[in-house]
Amino acid sequence: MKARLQTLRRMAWRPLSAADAALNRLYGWRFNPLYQSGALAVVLLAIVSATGLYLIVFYRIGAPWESVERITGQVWAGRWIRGLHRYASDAALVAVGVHALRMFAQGRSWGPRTLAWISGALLTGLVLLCGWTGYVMVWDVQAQMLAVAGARMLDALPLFSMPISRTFVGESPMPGQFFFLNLFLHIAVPVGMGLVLWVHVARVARPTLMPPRRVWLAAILALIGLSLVWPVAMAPRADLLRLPGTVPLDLFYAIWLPPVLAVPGWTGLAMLVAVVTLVLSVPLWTRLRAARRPPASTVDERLCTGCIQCSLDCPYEAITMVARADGRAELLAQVDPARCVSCGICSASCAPMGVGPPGRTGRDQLADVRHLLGETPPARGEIIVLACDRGLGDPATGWDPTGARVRSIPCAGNLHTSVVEQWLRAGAAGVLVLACPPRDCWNREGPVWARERLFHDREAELHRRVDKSRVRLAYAARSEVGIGDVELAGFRANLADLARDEQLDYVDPIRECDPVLEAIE
Amino acid sequence: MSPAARRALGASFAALATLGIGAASQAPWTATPEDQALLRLSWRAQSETTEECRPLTEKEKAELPIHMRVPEVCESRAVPYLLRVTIDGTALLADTVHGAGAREDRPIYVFREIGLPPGHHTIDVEFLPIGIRDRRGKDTHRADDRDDEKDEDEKNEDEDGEDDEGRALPLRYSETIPIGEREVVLVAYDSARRALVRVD
Repeated sequence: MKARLQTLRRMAWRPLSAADAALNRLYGWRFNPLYQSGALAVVLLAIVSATGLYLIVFYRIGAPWESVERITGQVWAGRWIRGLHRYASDAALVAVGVHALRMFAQGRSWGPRTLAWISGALLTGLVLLCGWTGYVMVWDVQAQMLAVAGARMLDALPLFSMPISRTFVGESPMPGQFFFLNLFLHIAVPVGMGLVLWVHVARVARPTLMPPRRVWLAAILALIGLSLVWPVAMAPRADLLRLPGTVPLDLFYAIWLPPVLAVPGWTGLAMLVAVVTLVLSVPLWTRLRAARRPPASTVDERLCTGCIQCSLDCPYEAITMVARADGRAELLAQVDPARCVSCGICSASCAPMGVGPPGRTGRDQLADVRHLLGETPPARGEIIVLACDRGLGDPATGWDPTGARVRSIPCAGNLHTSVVEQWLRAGAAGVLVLACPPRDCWNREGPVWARERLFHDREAELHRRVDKSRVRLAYAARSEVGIGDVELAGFRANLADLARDEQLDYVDPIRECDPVLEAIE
Repeated sequence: MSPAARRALGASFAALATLGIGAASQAPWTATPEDQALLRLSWRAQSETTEECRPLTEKEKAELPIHMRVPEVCESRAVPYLLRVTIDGTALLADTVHGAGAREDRPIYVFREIGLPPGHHTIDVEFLPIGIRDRRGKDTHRADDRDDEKDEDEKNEDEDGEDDEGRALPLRYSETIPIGEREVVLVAYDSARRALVRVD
C-alpha cells in the first residue's frame, strides 16, 4: 500500500516537472508562477482581504442579496472589486493547490516538515471555509445549495438536537442572526488564518511571503482585467420553497457540491472525513522507511570554531549556538534533529568542515573527490558538471553530454567550495555547478548559498587562489535537458576564449629571454 | 523561439489561464432537473409523555423517611411518534420519530424531504403518538391500530386541539394539490390552528 502511494507521489511529480519546464521556457525560472505558488497564495489572499474591506461597507445582513446586487450595480467600483474579490480567492485556491501538490510530489511533507504540512492543510481548510461563508453571504441559488449541503452534513453529526436543515425549510424568512453569524465567520476565519500562517512558516528561516514584483503585479493586473471584462453576474436570489435550476457553480470552492448533494448527508460527511483523513495522513505514508531516512546533521565539536555561519545558513533554523562545556571560549553549533531535514547546507557553510549529515560533510566530500581523482583524473580540457540529483544530476533524466563528466550531488547548497577547487587543481578545464532553479530548491536555499559562496565570498567561500572564471553556476530544472546543453556549450565557449586569451597574454620568460641572452653572450 | 514570440506566447498563456479561472468560477450547473419537485415536512412538536404509577410496598415505605412516604411512585416516559406519508395512495414513508436528547424527552423535530414528480398529488401525512398509556397503564394508542382509535381521539378533542388530559393530539394533513416544476411543498405545524398545514 505504502509503495503504491509512493508511486502516486512520483506520478504527481512528472506532470508538475513538465509544467515547470514549460513555464520556465515562457517566463524564465525567476518569474515562473508555479515556483511562486505559496507566496502567490499569500498575496492573493491579501488582495481578497483588501477588496473584502470595501465590500463589507456596503453589505447588509438584513438584505444580503439586495445589497450584493447594489454592489454589483456600482459600475465604477463595486462591480470590478467584487469580481476581483471572487477571482482572487479562486486564484488563491489554485495557488494553494499547486503549492500542496509540489510539496507532496517532492516528498517535502513528512518528518520535520510535518508541522508545515498539517498547518498548510488547516490553512487550506480555512480558505475553503472562508469561501463557503463568502458564497453564502450572497444568498443566491448557489448559496442556497451550499447552505443546504452544509446543513445536511452537520445533521449527520450526533451533536445537534434540532436538525440544522430546519433553518433552511422556507417556513419563514432567513433570520438576520444567521447572516450575522456567517459574516462574523467570514471575517474571523481570515484573522485565524494569519495565526496558522505564522505556524506554517515557523520552522523555516527567511520565509518567502512575496513573489517577485513582476509576478504579483502581473497576477493582480490579469485578475483586474478579468473582473472588468467578465464581471461576476448576480445569480437568482435564493428561494427555499423552490429547487434551484441552473446554478452558477464555482468549481474551485464548490466542486464537491454535486456529489455531496447526490448522496445522503452522512455519506457526504463520510466523504469529507475521508478526504481530510487522507490529506492529514500524508506525512505518515510519504515518509521514508527508518533505514532509508537521511540522518540529521552532526557537529564535530573539535572542529567547530563557533563562527555561527551554519546557524545563519540553515534554512530550517535547526542549528543554534550554545555555550561549550569543554572550557573553550567559543560557542558551539548544536543541531536539533527534530528540525533538521538533512539538506546538508550546513556542510558547505563550515570552513573547517565540522558540521553536516554523516557521509556528506565537507571532509567526506573532499575524500570522495580525492578517491575519484585517484581512479579517473580529469582529461585535458574536460569540464566537470556537478549537478543536483533532483535536477539534471539524476541519471534517470538520461542527460549525458559529450566532453563533460556529470557528477551527481545531493544539492548545490551542500557542495563545499573546496570540492570545486579540488577538481580544478586536478586539471579540469572548468567546473559547471548545475543547480535546481532557486525557487524550486527542495532544500529552499541551496542555489542561493551556492552562488554566494562561489562568487560573493560567503563562508565557506571559494578560495581566492581559484580562477573563478573557470567556475560557472547555472540553473536547470529536471526536465530542462536543453538548458543543461546550452549552459554547458556557453561555458565551454567561455573556457575556449579563456584559453585563447591565455595563449596571447602568456609570456614564457625562458623562451622570450633565452634568445636575447644568447645574443648578448 | 525569439524573445518577442516567447513574450507573446507567455501573455497568451496568462490570458488563457485567467479566462479559465473566470469560466471555472461560474460554470453553469443544472442543480435540479425540471421534472422534480419536493415535499418537505418540517415541524417541532413537544413529545407526548406517559406516566406509569404503582403503590409503594410496605418495605419500600419503611426504608424512606416519613416525609417522603408517598402513596405511589410514578415514572414518566416520552413516547415516540409514527410519521406516515402517503402520496396518491402509495405509502412512501413510515418512520418512528423519537424525541431529541439522550432520554428522548426533548422536543421532537421532524424534517423529511421526499422527491415527487410535478403534477397533481394527493398528500396524506400522519404524525401519531405510539403506545400512549393512561394513568392506569392501559394503552391508548399503538402504532398498528391507530386508525381504529382515531374516532375516539376526535371525540375527546376540545376546542384547543387537546384531549381531556391536555395532551397534544395526533396530527394529520391531507390535501390534493398541484405541484409545479422544482416547487417545494412545505408542510409544517401551525401552532395557532394546532394542525399540520401547507406553507406557501
